[in-house]
Amino acid sequence: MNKEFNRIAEASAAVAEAVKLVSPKVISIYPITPQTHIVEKLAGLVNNGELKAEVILAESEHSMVSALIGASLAGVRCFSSTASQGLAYANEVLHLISGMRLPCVMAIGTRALSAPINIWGDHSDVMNSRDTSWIQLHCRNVQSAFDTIIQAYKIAEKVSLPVMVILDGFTLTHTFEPIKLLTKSQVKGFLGKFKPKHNLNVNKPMTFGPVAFPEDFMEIKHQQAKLMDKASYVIKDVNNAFKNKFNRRYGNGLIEVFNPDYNKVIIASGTTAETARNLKCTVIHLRSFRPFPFKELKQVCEGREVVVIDRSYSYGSGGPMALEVRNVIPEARSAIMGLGGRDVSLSDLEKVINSNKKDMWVDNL
Amino acid sequence: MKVINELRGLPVDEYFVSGHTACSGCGPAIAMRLLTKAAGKNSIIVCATGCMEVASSKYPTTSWRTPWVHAAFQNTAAVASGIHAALKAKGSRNKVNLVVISGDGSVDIGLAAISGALERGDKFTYICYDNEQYANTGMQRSGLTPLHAWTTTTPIGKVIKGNQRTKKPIDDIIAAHKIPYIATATIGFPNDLFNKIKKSFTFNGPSFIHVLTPCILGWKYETDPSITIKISKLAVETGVWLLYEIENGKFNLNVKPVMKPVDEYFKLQGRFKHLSKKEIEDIQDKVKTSYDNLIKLTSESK
Repeated sequence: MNKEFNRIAEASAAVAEAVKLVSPKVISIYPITPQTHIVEKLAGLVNNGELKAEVILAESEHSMVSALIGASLAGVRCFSSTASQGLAYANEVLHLISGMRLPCVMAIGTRALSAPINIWGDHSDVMNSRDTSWIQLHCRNVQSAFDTIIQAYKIAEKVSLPVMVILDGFTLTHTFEPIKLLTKSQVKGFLGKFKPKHNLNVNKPMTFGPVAFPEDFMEIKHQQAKLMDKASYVIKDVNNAFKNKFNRRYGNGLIEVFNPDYNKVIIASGTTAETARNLKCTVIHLRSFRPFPFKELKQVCEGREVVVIDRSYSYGSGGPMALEVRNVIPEARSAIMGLGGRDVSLSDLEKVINSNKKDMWVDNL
Repeated sequence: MKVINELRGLPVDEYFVSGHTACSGCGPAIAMRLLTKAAGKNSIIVCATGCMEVASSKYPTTSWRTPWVHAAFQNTAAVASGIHAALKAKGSRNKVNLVVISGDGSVDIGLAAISGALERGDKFTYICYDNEQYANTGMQRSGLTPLHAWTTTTPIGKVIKGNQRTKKPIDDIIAAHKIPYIATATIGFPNDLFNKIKKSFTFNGPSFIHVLTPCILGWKYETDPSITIKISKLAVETGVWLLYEIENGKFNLNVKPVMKPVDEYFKLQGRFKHLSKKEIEDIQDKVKTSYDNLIKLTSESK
């Protein structure tokens, strides 16, 4: 092993390791494939005394994320993880967490949504929660999963919005790669002490989660929208700060551009982007789906031939990422690939680049 | 724990204060006032969606003088688990009384979350204020609506009249979890209610307190909202609502019902006015059976 790496780790274990270094006081868990390795590792770390945290063994994902509300409001860092049906089941609570501006962090091991039931990876689950006002950051390899967990806490606490750290189910969650770890003191130094803006304090009683009537509701939601705009800058800042401290960064934080000199451009999130780097074309890893980097994509893509790879579909409309990209690159082509764990192969990606169809499904090229 | 037997002995401090928009004569609002007196200054309250949440927390106002959080309808127990875990991690768990407030609706939709938190053994007091219907959405039937009662989803039709099902035995369901403390209470017996809530904080695990709270609109006595307490007392005096505790598995009857005829309780409430003589007699028998059963459980667990 190259000496700059210090461990060969599965991405799920790397996430657990990163969480250990962040050291949240409450970890709320409920298992679902393909997220299980993350929560199993964490339970092991706690039971071995390597991580001092209260573990909540929830009876459902709905309760699992509801417990994050309580823990975060009680003034501690917390962590959770889910996928697929679990994320869908938790969906209403995701809105509560962002609406209450709680800086929670959750890792998603992406997976298709039923029916038909399918345990393998695609982006249907995270796309289904794209409007929950959670920041959504995709990881493309094991190192980025490790680093993004640590960045996520910094981002969440600076913006006062929660962050989903997204790992492609199986293709990333269950992949082993050499990675460079950080130490606990490095992470502590980077994040600083958790200082909640407000909390449940008997000496300073406050009311959280009140009823807002029409005369106030819009202003509150408008503020929330502005926070998500602010998140774009914070993600970039945190990415830069991470680079300065640890000499690793992920493009400008929002997008990463590989092989920049080609005319043809593939836009993809997660492991698809990592695979596409092997092709003779420019690859943009769309790291941040929420907030969506319109300006940055326009800068890189203008005047070039763009194809967007989506691993989910908005029925009756199109590929969700492609639809967003077309706001700034109207002629961008769209390809639907890798649903329900279908392999996103280099040869299929090549076919997609060389096709002249505007909208295509890989099962029907 | 000091037991307080006189109304004037209750603390004068108020933590649920005026300005809320509950109906005049609202039974649940009286329960809120009493339970916050019992929980005191060092308490954190998790409140479910429902009348008491909507009436008390219209942004930017609040009736709560203790830290209070509302998240959703069914997840209060899970939110409490998160608070319990965080306080435990911070080493301050024993400095705070953690209280969950929900209506009977949340005991339907949130049953899995309640069961999960009870099974985990998390320390908190779950208070279910039971007005026997989904009052906040407009008096629809809940699982805790009693047999024959009118609600807006169990109307008095030409063919089907009122609720066809008996009240869900929620206390038995909770008791099956073998938690340290379960109690029933009602606002007509304020000291009993106060003392039970105080007592719940002394256990190192979950407690469940089921409080009957008459609702002037849902129980249809809106022409005279002053009789809320009278109805609450009659529920106990007729034996329709039994005041008891289950402390570490031991049953204890707190107030012996004088067994007034159940009709005295029913006739004050419009929701029961369609009841036939036969139906009232049947209910009278059921009340006797459940009382006898409780006496049996009490003597068996001694």
